[in-house]
Formats: sequence, C-alpha cells, structure tokens
Amino acid sequence: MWLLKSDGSFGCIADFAADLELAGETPLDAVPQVGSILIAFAGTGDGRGFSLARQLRARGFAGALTATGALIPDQARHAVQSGFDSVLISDERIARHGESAWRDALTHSVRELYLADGTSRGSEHGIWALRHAS
Amino acid sequence: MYQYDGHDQAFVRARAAEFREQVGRRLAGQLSEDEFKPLRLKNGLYLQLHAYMLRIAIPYGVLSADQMRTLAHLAENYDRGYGHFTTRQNLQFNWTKLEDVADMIDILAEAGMHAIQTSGNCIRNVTADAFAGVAGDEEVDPRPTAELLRQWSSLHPEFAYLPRKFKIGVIGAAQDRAAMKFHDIGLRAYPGENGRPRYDIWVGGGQGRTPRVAQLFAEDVAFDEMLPTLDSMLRVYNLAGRRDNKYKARIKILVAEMGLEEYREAVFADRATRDAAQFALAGPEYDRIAAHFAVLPVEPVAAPPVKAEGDFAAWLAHNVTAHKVDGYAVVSVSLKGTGEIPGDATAGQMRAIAALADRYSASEIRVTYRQNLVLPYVPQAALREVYEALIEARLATGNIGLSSDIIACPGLDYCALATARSIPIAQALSTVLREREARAIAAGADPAGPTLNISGCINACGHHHAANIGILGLNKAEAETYQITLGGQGDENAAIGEVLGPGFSAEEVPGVVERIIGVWEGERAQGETFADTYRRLGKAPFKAAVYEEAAHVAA
Repeated sequence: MWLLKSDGSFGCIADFAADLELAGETPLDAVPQVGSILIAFAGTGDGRGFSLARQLRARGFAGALTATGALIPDQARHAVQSGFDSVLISDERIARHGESAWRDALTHSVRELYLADGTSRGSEHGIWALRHAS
Repeated sequence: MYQYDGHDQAFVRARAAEFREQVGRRLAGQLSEDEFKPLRLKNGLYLQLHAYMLRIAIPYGVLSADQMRTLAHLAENYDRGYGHFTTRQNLQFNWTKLEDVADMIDILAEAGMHAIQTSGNCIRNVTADAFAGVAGDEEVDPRPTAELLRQWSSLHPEFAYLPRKFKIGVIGAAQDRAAMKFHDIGLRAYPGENGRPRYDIWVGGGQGRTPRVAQLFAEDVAFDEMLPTLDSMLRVYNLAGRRDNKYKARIKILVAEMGLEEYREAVFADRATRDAAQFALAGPEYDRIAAHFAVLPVEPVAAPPVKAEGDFAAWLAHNVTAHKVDGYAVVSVSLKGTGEIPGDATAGQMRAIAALADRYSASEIRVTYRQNLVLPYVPQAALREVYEALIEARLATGNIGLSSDIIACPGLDYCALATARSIPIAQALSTVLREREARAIAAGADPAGPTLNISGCINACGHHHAANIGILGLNKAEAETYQITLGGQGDENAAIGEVLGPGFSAEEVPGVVERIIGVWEGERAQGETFADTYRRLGKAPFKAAVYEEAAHVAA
C-alpha cells in the first residue's frame, strides 16, 4: 500500500495502523478520544468522509486523520483540504490510476481556493486572505 | 459588471489545466468511465445522445459583449454554429468532441469564463435576477451576493460529492424574476447594515419528480451569519441526505423526511461548532465585489417621448421595461421567434447582440432563466435603432412574458435523459400562440396569456411545474405522450401546477392548449390573469373542455 501525505510526500509503506477505523458514513456523536483515525470512503461519489473530517476538526480532533477506500487521485485535494493528513492507497488503485497520477495528485489539481478553512492541511492560502492581507 | 482580477484569472486557468490533465488520464485508460464521469460533470461535460454536451457557466446571467463573441467563436469552431441558453442562465453546446473540450475551456478561461460546476452532484452555477442593478423595484442588488457564493462554492473541497446537485438562486426585489423558491437554497436579500444585505433563507425548493416550493428556513439573517449558515446547511445535507435513490437525494426530500424544525436544529448545532473567524473575510470580500457593481455605467439623460406604431409599438410594450436611471430602458431580446427553438441563438445572432451591447448597452448582456437575453442599459432615444438592428438579426419578436415566450428543454432531440421531444412541441405551439397574440394586438386587445413551459422528462429542466400551462413529455407504451399541468407559477407567488388528466399525443397538444386558453378567455374577469382564474375556478371547467370535446384521448 501507499501513503500520500498532505506535505506532498508519497511512498510505498509496508504496514499502516490507526487507533480507530470509521466508515465515511458514520454519524459523529462524540469526538473519539484516540490519536489516529482512518476513514474509509464507500464510493467515488460519496463525499460524506470529507464532511466527517471537517466535523472532527471543527470539534477539536487534533490527532492524525487518514482517508482511504474508493478515492481517485483527483480527490486527494478534497481530502487534504477537508482536514485529512494523508491518503492511504491500495496497490490495486496505484496500478490502475498510475503511480505518477497519485504522486502528482496534490500538484496537478487546483491548489488555491477562495476561502481556505482553518482546518485544512493543504497548501492553499485562500484568495480572500491574499486579497485582504493588508 | 464584475471583472476578474489576477487571482480569478489564475483560478480558472488552473482549473482548465487540471481538466486537460484529467481528460488525458481518461484517454490513457488510467481513469474508468465511472471515475471520470463525476470529474467531467463537475466541468459541465455530459455525454448525450449524439455527442458530448458542454455547459458553460454564465454566473448570475451576466455576460460582456466580448464574452458573447467568445461564445460565438466556440459555436462556429467547435459546434454547429449555434448554442442553447438554458433555464439556469447557462449556455450549452450540443455537438462538442471530447478531444476538443480542453481547448474550449482554455479559450473560455482567457475570456474570464469557465464551466465549473455547471453539472454534477455539487453546488451549481448560482443564478440571480437577470434585471439586477437596473430594475426599478430592486431593494438590493443580488449580484454581489451571487458572486460571493460563486467564489465560496467553486471547488469547495467538502461539497464536491454531495448526494445530488445543489442549486442556489438569489433575488433582491419583491418581484421574483429568478424562480428563487424553486431552488435548493433561495436567498431574498434586503438592505442591511454597512451596505451589506440581510437575508431570508429558503430551503428545499425544486422541480423534478417531486416538485416543492421552498420553505422559509431562517428570516432576516445578518450578513455575517449567511455564509456559515449555508456552509452548515450543506454539511448536514452532505452527511444526512439520501444516497440510496437518486430521485430522493435532493435536499427537499431530506427536509421533508427530517421535518424543517429538526433539519434547522441540526444546522444550528453544526454552526455552533464553527469558528466564526473562518468567515471573517466574507464581509470585506463582499464590499470589494459590490464596488464592481456600485457604479452604474450610464448617467441620467433627458428622454424624448418614443413615437411608436405597429410591430415596433408591440415590441416596446412587451420587450422594453422601466429602468432605474432616467432616459434608459431595459430591453429584452426574445429567443422565442415563431417556429424557432426556445433559447437557441446562432453565432451570427450572438455577434449581433454583442455589437448592440457595445454600441447601446455599456457592453453588457444578461441571460434570463426564461431563456431570453437582455440589453440592460439602452438609451430610450436609441430604442428604434436597436429594434431595427434586431429585425436584421431575426431577434425582434415582441413576445416577452406572453404565452409564446415558451420555456423548453432540449428534450429527446439531444438529451440522454429525455423521454419525449420538447422542441417540436414548442415550435408548433409557438406558431399557434403567436397567431393568437397577433390577432389580439391587431384588435387592440391585450395579448397576454398563460405562461407555458415544456419539459421532455420528469427531471423538469423546462420548468413545466412552474408554468400556468405545463407540458411534460413522457413515454408510454413506446409512444410520446404529453401530460398537461395547470396553475403553476414561477414568480413570487410560486406554485406547482396540477395534473389535468390523461396525456395527449404530440399532434393533439396545440389544440388542447387552445381549448384551455379558450376556457380562460371565456371565464376570466376583466384583467384577470390565467393563474388567478384557475385558482378561482379550479380544474373542472378546463377538464370538461379538454376531455369532453377531445376527439381522441391517449392512454
């Protein structure tokens, strides 16, 4: 399996462990008192995991958040900007999408947004922030 | 109008480059069609019956003359010489090739345009009153709000994979010229503090299989609360909206199943977890955007009375409306010529409109949700010249707001979702209705009549639910059949039409519509609109006239 981190680093890893694994569709009742959470996306079109991550961050979860499951390289940006620290990718998806597509996922997608959220792990500054910097 | 700065320009260029790379990976087989589909849809690219269709955003319906010429260029070089203006104030090209689309997007980006989120399960192109900034009854210009929402929603990382599409409409006047209450979220802006609006927020409107008029979610919301509230409304929908059935996935169903009160509580609970500082720049950004719209491009002038007779007088009466600046008029250009396809314009017509806008309308054009164009700043003294130029361009039909000003979707002639044709029905009806209007005008009578909208399937892109007379094309027993609804309204008195009874064949539709109008003409009180007559009398007299007199009724 492979890990793409929000700082853009990318590589093959032998194993991965998180304190808690959640499905992306899990309703959030209380913030889990753990150090790391792996959130699995059920389908390419199912964006619940992005909202779950932002909700966890908004409610103060400061540990490591990793996205996995049915994601495509183009969704890595969404994950990182929604508060994920990394994306865990299966060998099968690397083979099909191409190693370079995942390696370049965060540089080939649009990086700057209008409104950067404080919980984002991405490199965006926010166009509004740039415009009103003075 | 709003002008892109370097940031906006870089943003659309980056999106164009990203899309080019995505197409490349699809063509190389690195993305399956299932994986590529949401990516192309988020860039307005549909696979239709005959070709790819590219839907280009015209945010809140505002277009410069140069941008219109860019669309004409694309029509000539990448389509078959025409384009189709839609009920979401967008423009569709119906004959594009996948390998050309990245080049088209580059050309659009150079003109400050894009196709971002004109399709797909995301926040769509934001619509607004096409008369914004010029209408006499306006309290707040909706365009700065719409532009703020365009920026906030564009490539929003959290809301790109929603249960279903999400439409937002904004108005700032008592008269609703944007069908605001048929949007997933509708905003009605009112004057607020420090030049920033306050809002009534409406939720859960929509058409399709389960038509709903939006409900009032929150009244008199301060500007600073608006964006955090919308963000929380979207988050609750993203997490709780149904994903098991696409016909039950819109927010209207979530609100109906949760109940408005419970939905509201969930939204406010989420909003309470947020750091308000996240949205602190929305205010200064609103002010920056609003400054683009604050200065009217024209000064008041003395206007000589316009002398008019014949067709010119009729065109003035229907296509020209009052302007907030003395000496000016708002000119609507009908894309509903007799026997023409509603919303279609040729490249030549686009260029003619662009030339008129340059010469007479501060180089600005609007697109209405009723699929017409608007020249928003025409000096009254130039109305005759504009009219004559429109005759040259075959765009001088004086029927704005009349029955022959038909809304119609592309239907089965283009659309992969359609169950029946819309265009031939619209063409046939426009001929019949225009004859009726001409007779009334010749007799010195008011040619006004019911609004008439046509959809080629239950998805209701042609807004049939919101028309006085709605026509829905279905496929029953392998034949096209057209179901009629009566009493709908898309304006500030939003209402959903009621089904009249069994459907009709395409050939029967014009005669049925004539009988319905005949009943109204016979029963109406002096000056009464069709909607008011229908509300007073109900369905019965219309049903009797249509079904008891009809020679043949389809199953």
